[in-house]
Amino acid sequence: MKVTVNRIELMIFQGATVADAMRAYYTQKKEKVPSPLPEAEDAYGNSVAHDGALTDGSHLIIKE
Amino acid sequence: MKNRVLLALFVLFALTSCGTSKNVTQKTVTDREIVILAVNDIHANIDNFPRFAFMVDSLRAIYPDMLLVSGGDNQTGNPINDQYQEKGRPTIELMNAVGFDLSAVGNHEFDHGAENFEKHTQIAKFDFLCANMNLPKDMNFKVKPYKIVTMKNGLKVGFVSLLDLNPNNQPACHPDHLTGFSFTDPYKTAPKYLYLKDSADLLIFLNHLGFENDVKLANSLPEGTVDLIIGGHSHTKVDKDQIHNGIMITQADSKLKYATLINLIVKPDGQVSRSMKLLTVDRKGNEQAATRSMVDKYNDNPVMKEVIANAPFEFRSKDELGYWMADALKATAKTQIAFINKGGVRINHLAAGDISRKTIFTIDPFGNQVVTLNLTGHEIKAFITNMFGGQGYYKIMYPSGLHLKYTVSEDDSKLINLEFLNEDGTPFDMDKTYSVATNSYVIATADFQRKDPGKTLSITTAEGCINWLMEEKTVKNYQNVKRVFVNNK
Repeated sequence: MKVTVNRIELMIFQGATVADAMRAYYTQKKEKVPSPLPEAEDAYGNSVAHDGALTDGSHLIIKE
Repeated sequence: MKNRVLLALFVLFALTSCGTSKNVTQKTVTDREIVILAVNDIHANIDNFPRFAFMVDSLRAIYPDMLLVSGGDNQTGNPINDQYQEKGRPTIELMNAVGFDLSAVGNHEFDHGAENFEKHTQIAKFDFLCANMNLPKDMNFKVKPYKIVTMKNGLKVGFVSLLDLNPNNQPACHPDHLTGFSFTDPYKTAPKYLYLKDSADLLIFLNHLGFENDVKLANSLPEGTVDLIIGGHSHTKVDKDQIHNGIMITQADSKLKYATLINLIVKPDGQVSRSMKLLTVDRKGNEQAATRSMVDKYNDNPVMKEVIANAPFEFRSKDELGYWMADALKATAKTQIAFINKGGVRINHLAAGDISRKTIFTIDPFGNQVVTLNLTGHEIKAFITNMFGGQGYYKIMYPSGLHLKYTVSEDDSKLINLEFLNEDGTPFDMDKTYSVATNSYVIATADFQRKDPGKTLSITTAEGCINWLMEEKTVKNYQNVKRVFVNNK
């Protein structure tokens, strides 16, 4: 499924969580995955938990 | 007397310091009000129930007719609940004790199998709702598409529920648990229930779609038909008013960390005013004694220490444990090949003897999901090569179903060559496509070109291992197993 993290579109496995998408984002950017992961928001400015489910077309903004 | 003071103080705290809504409308004598406390994605976090139960009691002292609802995914996330003799029962019993009125069906309600889910719907003293699901005809589920609740003040409130589906038209859970079920598109299903507004004062969707999908749904509905969407699935912390196409949408993060207190006031002319506050649950504080007693009993359950298999031979290294876990993953996912990363094995040694569920959660405490993909030999090579050099966390992977021959530089920093062999030593066909399993952490951090992005089986690698061991009973000897060769060693 396609999700967008910080305006970058990623193809990620079906059933991925917010944490999975964030890890995929850092990996695609060739950056080390931070630990712990920073907080993230959806397209409407709501905070989303790292174990939250994503669906096709979800948008995330990493709060760094 | 002391309890009353505590209740009053708690409510005062809840209603003054945690609120976010600025849209509170004054109620007049002729107005009728409904108060709802909504949570979602409890995920079997039973340890928060005593505090949550105290909150519910406190609020019911003020709002005796308050409805308590869940946006689904009550199940999965705590081994005490998930590995209970009757899987998932503790969460349902606690929801009964706290007095839930309604729950959406979330994708994780299916995780313990159809028979357990069926039993959960039967023992629940609340109603499960789902409007876009057709139930197996040969089973006796107690799930309704909608419910109209008549409040003591005469208000009629219609609740309808929708469940998110993946592109295969199924909820995100293990496909083996969906035999006999069928599902319909939630966005095409929703309009079919708008007629309920004709006989109800309020129409509310209690969904498990995810926040962004709830916004999509709200924008697709005729204005004025639906008053509120209470959501779940995306674990979104909605702490301020979210109004889309005139419909308020709420969601309260997950795991009973928060709850949303919603007030709906219906004016004599039918106009509805709405307000919401996100209340914090998981701080230290007062607990309801009866619920605490139940939770302590569940946590003391010997099921985690119960012997599920025996290993006659000790595991002397992380490599031996890694091969064993890779075999468990391959068996769980029913794939031809499986890979486990070195970091996915927490311990370096396991003594011969009995193996309990707790042993498995000690070896694999990460909660990673099983992910399956169809990959060609060339794609697998790109995957394993990327794992060696990409993030650099894993270097070498533990395989099941093939052997890996790495040729690396003297300082181990560079992969010079990588060869695959079948387990019997014959050449591996690189042009064929294979079913492959790994864990969600590995595949999220793998950066390689492939046609199939993969999908989760909605089961953790640890749970898969436990299920496999309960069938196998005896663990084979891994002391002579070698599947990874580095510079021919």
